[in-house]
This record gives sequence, C-alpha cells and structure tokens, in this order.
Amino acid sequence: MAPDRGPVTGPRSRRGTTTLEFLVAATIGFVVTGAALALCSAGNRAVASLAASEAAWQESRAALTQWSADWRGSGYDPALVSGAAVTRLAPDTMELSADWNGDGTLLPTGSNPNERLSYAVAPGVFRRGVNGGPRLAAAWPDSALFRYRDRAGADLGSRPDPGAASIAVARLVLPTSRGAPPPVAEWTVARRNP
Amino acid sequence: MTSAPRPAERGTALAVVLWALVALGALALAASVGAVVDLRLAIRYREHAASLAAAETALAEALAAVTRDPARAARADSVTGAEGGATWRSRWSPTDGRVRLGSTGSVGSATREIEAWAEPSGAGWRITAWREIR
Repeated sequence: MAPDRGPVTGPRSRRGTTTLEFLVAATIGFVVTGAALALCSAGNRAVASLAASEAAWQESRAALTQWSADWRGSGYDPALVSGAAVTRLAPDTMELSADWNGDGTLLPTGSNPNERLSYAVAPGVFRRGVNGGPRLAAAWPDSALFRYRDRAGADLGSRPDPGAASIAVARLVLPTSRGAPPPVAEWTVARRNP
Repeated sequence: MTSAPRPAERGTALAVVLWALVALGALALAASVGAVVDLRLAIRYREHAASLAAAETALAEALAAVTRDPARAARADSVTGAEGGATWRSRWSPTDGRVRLGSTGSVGSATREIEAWAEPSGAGWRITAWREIR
C-alpha cells in the first residue's frame, strides 16, 4: 500500500517547482543562513573578547601579585652584610635585590635565583628579569608605568633616588574592545625593609 | 490574500529562531561564567590581602609584647589573636641580640606568612628585615 502523502490540492503541487521559485527560495535561504552565521560570528567574537579580558585581568593580577611581593621585600637583608637594596628606579624599569636565603650574599644559585631582580614595563610587555635574564611574566598591558612616592606619600617624580622611594605604584592599561574605555589596574605597594 | 505558512516554512523559521537563541544563550553563559570566575578571584584576592594584613598585625602585636615585657624577648614565645574573621599568630626566638619573628595570618581559605628580624631601638624594637614566605 502506498504511504499516505496527504491530500494533493491545487495546481502548484501538480506542477512542481519552477526555476524562478527555486532561485528565489535559494536566495532567501542564503540570506537567512548568512544572517544566522553572522549572528554566530558576532557571538563568537564577543565570547572571545570576554575571555581575553578575563585572561588579561587574571594574568595582570598574577604578575602584579608577584611584583608586589618582590617590592615589599626588596632590600631584605637579615645578615646585614649583603647590601641588598633598590638600585635603580625609572618609569619603565626597576632593579632591586634581596638576600632571600640569608646567606649574606646576593650571588645567584640554582636553588635561589631571585635575589637580583629587575622589572620592565612597556606597551605589550611586563617582564620580570631574574639575574639579568628577562623572563616574560605577562604580556597584556596596552601601556604601563611605575610611579614612586616617599614614605609620607609625596610624589618623587619619574626617576627618584632609590633610597628615598618607599611606595611604588604600578599602573597598567589593559586591552579593550574598540570604543570601550580601557580598564586600568593600579597597584600601590609600600616597601617594608629599611 | 495571504495564506498560512506551510510546515516547511514554519520549520525554517523555527530553526533560525532556535539558532539565534542558542547563539545568544552561549554568549550569556560565557559572560556569566566569566563574571563568576572573576568574582571568585576577586574574593580570593581580598582574602589574601586581609591575610597579609593579619600577619602584619601579628608582627606588630609581637613587637608590642616584647616592648611591654622585655624579658619575653630573651626566650622563644608567641602571641595569637583574632579579629573580624581573621586569625593571626606570631612566634619569635632570640638570635644574637635580635629576634627572629614568623607571623601567620589567615582569612577564609587564604593564609599568608611573613618572616621578620627586629633589633632593639630606643625603648622599643625596629624591623631590620622583612619578607613574605608565602
């Protein structure tokens, strides 16, 4: 028995589909499909932008947390003979040392490689150099700079005497989508060592 | 005169609408997950900052204790405390006229620990070396 295909009514069903009808239907199909794909593509771009923004914040937090600990402990010298200190400060770089293992020297060893540190910031760069060898900690900021203050909070300018600088401010401008105001992360950290 | 849409047209329209809903839903889900992750990280960061503050409170309390009672600086001792959800503890031991202090602060799941050295200065003590252990 033939399957029931429903009632056959009207001349269209008997004629089938004309070339013109097929072309119109195909065009409409292409337009609708293209619009749907464009919507998906816009959604994908938005999701990717959100993910990139989250990653930028998270990596910035991680990098600045590391920097904060280094700056707070800079000049750590429990043996009082190593000469650990902050040695150079500029808007885009800082150099510091700390006798983390308390052996009285700042010589790098395999187990203690972080006693002499430098930080360098620039658009797209946030580097933590260990013993002179730069190592990328994060590469997110659109722009970044350091500023310095004394213990009372007074601004010391862009290249202060390293001994006078007690507070450092790291300011990072993070990437953003076109047109939106860029998010700015600013961390203010005070040194603890004399 | 307009005729009712055929089942195939209704199906196509439904597919487009569902497709758009799925795309928008995925976008909303991604944004929500990102916001939740960021919120948790912010809370965790705040807990770590509070823990570090608690550890520094412990350090200050330890120095206050040996200032009030200098005899306590001559032997290993400790102080503990809690305030506003934070707990802290500081231990110290004498070494060559100085004291070596280890202070810990905890808030929530975050714990921070610092090590410091202090020497007598006038009627009190002053920190000569300070670092974060974790």
